[in-house]
Amino acid sequence: MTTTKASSLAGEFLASIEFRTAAEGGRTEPTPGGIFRCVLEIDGKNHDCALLLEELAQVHPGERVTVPIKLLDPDLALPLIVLGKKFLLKDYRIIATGTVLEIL
Amino acid sequence: MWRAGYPDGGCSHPCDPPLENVYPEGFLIGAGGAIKGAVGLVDSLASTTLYRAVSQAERADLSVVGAFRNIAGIESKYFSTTLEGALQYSNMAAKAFGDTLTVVRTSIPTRSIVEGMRVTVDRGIPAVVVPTSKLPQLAAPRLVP
Repeated sequence: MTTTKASSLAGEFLASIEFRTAAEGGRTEPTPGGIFRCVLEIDGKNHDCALLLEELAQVHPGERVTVPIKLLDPDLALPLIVLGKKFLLKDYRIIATGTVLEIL
Repeated sequence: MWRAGYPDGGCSHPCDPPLENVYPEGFLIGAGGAIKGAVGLVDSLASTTLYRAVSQAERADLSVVGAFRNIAGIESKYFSTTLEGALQYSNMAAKAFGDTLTVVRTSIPTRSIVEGMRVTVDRGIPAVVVPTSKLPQLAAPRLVP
């Protein structure tokens, strides 16, 4: 539950995200619209992040989306974000895989 | 009362209640078993204190409902196992997302924390990710002064 609007935030990078299906161990229901927070794992380290989904609204398991991502601690995590790099999104299990498309 | 010298679980006094009415089943298998049973009992009763930095909207919801819950589509909530971790998260979230957060304390039966729920994020914040299905196991939240 958050009152912050995704449109009021600027992501640090743009990524292609492919959500796993429930059969693959991913989420069982669509994300809500707006800000979707989860853990981004890159280079074996976990970083809190937010997918700024407002324009897309819900994302269903198995869907691929291109979305801006905001990092909780960009000073720490942004140096790890480079074009083409792959990462995982986790929410007590892996829910999606991502690829960095653009640094914003 | 259980006596180590009574491997059959016998009583020292006829008024003592039958063991099976006093102790869990795990205590009725001899001295070694009794120790294991005691450890198991302690384990089953142990809880882990958790802290969470909540938004004003979530705080208002907690004050109405008295328990944690999620909106549709959210499958978990993040907690820190330390107050310092929750405060650190709160400070970073205020900077990154403009959130105004308040820290609340709760607890969860330690046995409910299974593999995959513990995670360390960002600058070493120890976190526990509680799936929505386990939120009813959390104790009533209390504001941290």
